[in-house]
Amino acid sequence: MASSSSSSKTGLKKMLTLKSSDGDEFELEESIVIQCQTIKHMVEDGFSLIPLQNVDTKTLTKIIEYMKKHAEKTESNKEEIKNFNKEFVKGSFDDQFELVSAANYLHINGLMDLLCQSIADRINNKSVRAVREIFNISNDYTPDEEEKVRDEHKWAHEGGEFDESLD
Amino acid sequence: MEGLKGMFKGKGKGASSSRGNQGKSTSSSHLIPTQDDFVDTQHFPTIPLDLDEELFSGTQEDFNLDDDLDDTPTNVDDNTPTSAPSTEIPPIPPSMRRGDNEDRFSALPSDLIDDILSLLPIHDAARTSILSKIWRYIWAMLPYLEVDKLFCKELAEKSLSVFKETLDTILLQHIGNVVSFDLDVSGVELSSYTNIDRWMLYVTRNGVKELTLNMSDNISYKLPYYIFNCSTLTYLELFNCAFKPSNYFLGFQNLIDLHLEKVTFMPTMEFYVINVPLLLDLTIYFCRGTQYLKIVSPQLESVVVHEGDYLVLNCFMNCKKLSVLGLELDEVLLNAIKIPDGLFSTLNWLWHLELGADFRKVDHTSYALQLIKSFPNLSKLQIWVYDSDDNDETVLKYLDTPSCLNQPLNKLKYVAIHDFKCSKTELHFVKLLCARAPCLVKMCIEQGIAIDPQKERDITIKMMCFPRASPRAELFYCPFEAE
Repeated sequence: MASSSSSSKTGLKKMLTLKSSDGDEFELEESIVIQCQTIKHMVEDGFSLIPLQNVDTKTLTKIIEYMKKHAEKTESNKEEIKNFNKEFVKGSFDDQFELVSAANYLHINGLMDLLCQSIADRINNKSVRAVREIFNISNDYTPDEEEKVRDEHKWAHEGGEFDESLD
Repeated sequence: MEGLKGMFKGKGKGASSSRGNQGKSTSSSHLIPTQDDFVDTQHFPTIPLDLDEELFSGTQEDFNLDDDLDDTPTNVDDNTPTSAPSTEIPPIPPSMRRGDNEDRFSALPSDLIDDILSLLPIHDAARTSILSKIWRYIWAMLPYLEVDKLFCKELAEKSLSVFKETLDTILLQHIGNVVSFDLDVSGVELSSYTNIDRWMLYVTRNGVKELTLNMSDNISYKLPYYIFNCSTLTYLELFNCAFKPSNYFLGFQNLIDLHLEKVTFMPTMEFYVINVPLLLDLTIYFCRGTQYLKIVSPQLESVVVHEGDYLVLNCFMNCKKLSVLGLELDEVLLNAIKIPDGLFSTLNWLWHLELGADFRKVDHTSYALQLIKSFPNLSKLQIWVYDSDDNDETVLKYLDTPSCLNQPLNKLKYVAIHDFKCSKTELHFVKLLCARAPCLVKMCIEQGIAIDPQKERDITIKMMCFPRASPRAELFYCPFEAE
């Protein structure tokens, strides 16, 4: 898994090493990594080995995949990036939450926006029951309490058919 | 009315203090603001709360050495050979590891949850209150409220009073500042604007920073004075409103971005002097009465104008930092515009010009060229071709006269021509720019209509042969792509 890409093609480019919480190291060009604000600040402070205790190897691999692709972004490959983004958010929710927390922590705004939108899309027009089910949210209201909250937001529960499916 | 105002005010105040305790939203958990509620804080799952604090404190900004050491003494003791302990952040607690049936959504930091909710239609966002106790007040405290067109329309279709009551309820239930408020009632036929006024009053008294108000097409909602008096505004976007500030209008002291669309500036004896000391971006689309406008903004960087009644570029004379100017003008306006003498020497920050141009008309073409050569530091030029014709001899003749562009465009580096109609006139125009831009780096031409492939080839071959004043200029031609 620790695919420390050897820097064969890069003679002069400055390289950085990211270390996941599992101890795997990834060597990357600085130009790719500085999309991430947190790391950018650390680079400015002179670090070249950056330990990321909050990000495991699996998540970091995904994030690097994202940063590499988005570093290639130009005027002409917008469509390609769009398709990449579409594929990128297809993982399980667990993975998405892991990724969004990591993106938040690393301050990669584009990735955060992408993931937040993807999570929001899964809630959109879903019934309360379906949302609880999809996200493993256990209902700790008593029936009376629940009724009271429902009453308070009556306007939001009325009208329209809500989607009960879990996909 | 008075009672309602009082309620709004009281609620807002109380809530803003409770929000104040929260500190920065990132490192905080959602608080439970009112006492008379049944939610028992003791039974809250503690994991997400601890998690927020442990995980995200101090990670938002730069790393804080002391904090991290304090937070993770075990780390330092146990893993002695850590290469750079000072830069490490406490590990994710086991409860957050994946693979089990954890409720990882509720455990996200509150700013992320806010971001996600703000992407949902308002009723979907509000329904999350019922998910579980953790979610009880998250929506009510969401600092961004977007009441979209569809939502308003569907409510108004039930009845106008349902619509008004619902909006009242939403605002009454809200806790804390409404940092961003976006209301689109363009799909609702209102008989009076008392309610709109009241909602505007509520948000302007509750710290609104970003306000968008979209009224319906056939009316002119006269903006109430509290919008003009609202000192918290940094972003204001108005559609279909009537703009008539009182004589005491001091301007928007904190406004950074102003977008006006189909706004009517009511006739006045004098100019509307709008003092916007921090304004950076101004967009004016299809507004009427712009001749009454005088913008005083020393910081203004970007102005985009789409056809309106009349516009005197003079009103930007004092905006010395103006660097981006976009003008998409129709014929009527074009005749009305006078380029004031000396405008351009004062606007020498300007480096990016966006223009709409109709190459069938001599005056349009000459106006475009006049603007292009007027800004001494112009380096990026974008042109949208409205229309063009193969057989327009007058324009072709004009473009052939040496005086139409008699000076080199020394700073011009990037040119993009959109909606290229493949006419002789446009080709002439391109040729002219190529010959007159000694520093050109890149010219991009996007074909905007479908044409015969043979003709397309001819055009590109012709373009390749144009003499280029800049030896390093690259020409990109993007053929038409049907959607």
